Amino acid sequence: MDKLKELEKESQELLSAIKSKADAENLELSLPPLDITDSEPKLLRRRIPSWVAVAAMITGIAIGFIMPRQGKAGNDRITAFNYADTCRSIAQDDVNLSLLVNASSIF
Amino acid sequence: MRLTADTFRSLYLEHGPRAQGFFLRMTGYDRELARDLTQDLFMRLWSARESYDANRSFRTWMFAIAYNMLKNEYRRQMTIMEYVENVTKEEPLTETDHIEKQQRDQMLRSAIGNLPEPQKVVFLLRYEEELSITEIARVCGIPEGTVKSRLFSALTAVREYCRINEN
Repeated sequence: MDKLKELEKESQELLSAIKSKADAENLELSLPPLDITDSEPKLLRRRIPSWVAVAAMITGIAIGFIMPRQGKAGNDRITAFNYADTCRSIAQDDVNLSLLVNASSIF
Repeated sequence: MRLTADTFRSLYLEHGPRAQGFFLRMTGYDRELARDLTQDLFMRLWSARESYDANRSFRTWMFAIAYNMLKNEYRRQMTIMEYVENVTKEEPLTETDHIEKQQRDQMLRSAIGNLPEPQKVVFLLRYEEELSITEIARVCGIPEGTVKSRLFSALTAVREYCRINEN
């Protein structure tokens, strides 16, 4: 018979005291909350066929060409503003006309 | 077999207190830490439910992960000195308690608490959680012969401690 079993037999009283102490301690414990669900959060990802992506891209480019160019209209507005501002400056006499002529010849 | 949330909840109610009690004694009666570790343990078990083999014991699986968590916990924060100090920290006795029983329990706590960590784990798993030698070997990842020799040394030490302190 192995030594451990022999020792366990001799220690029956001690071991049952240890077990009952542990059981009593376990009874006093309050379990922490456990928040679990069966459903897993899933990524909202759909497979899009490649032809749809290509078609969308072509449509986007076509619309870009067909639509009136916002950039040009914006540039016109800026030019008009600059012109008006230059006129105002000339009227107020705070612009050196020779510099203005030189600058316009450069551009 | 796939573990559903309902099955897992009932496993939690059945085995949770044992796991928490195990953590409690292994951490030198740090109640907060034992609670946190228990919660963490079951969240890990739930996350790893795909790897659970229904043909094997849930307890063995649970204690194997619990033991790994404890090893990490020791590495992370506990020195041997803190560990021994925690073990001797006891709650005050109340007037209505049975003082004699409390003293005996305290002595047992200290006797087990003074064991070196490798002996203490196998001792608790065997005599408190009633795992078999084979299961303990699986949980700790050591040969059965080592489990037996550690148990023998641990039991001898606990008996000796109690013999000295009872007189």
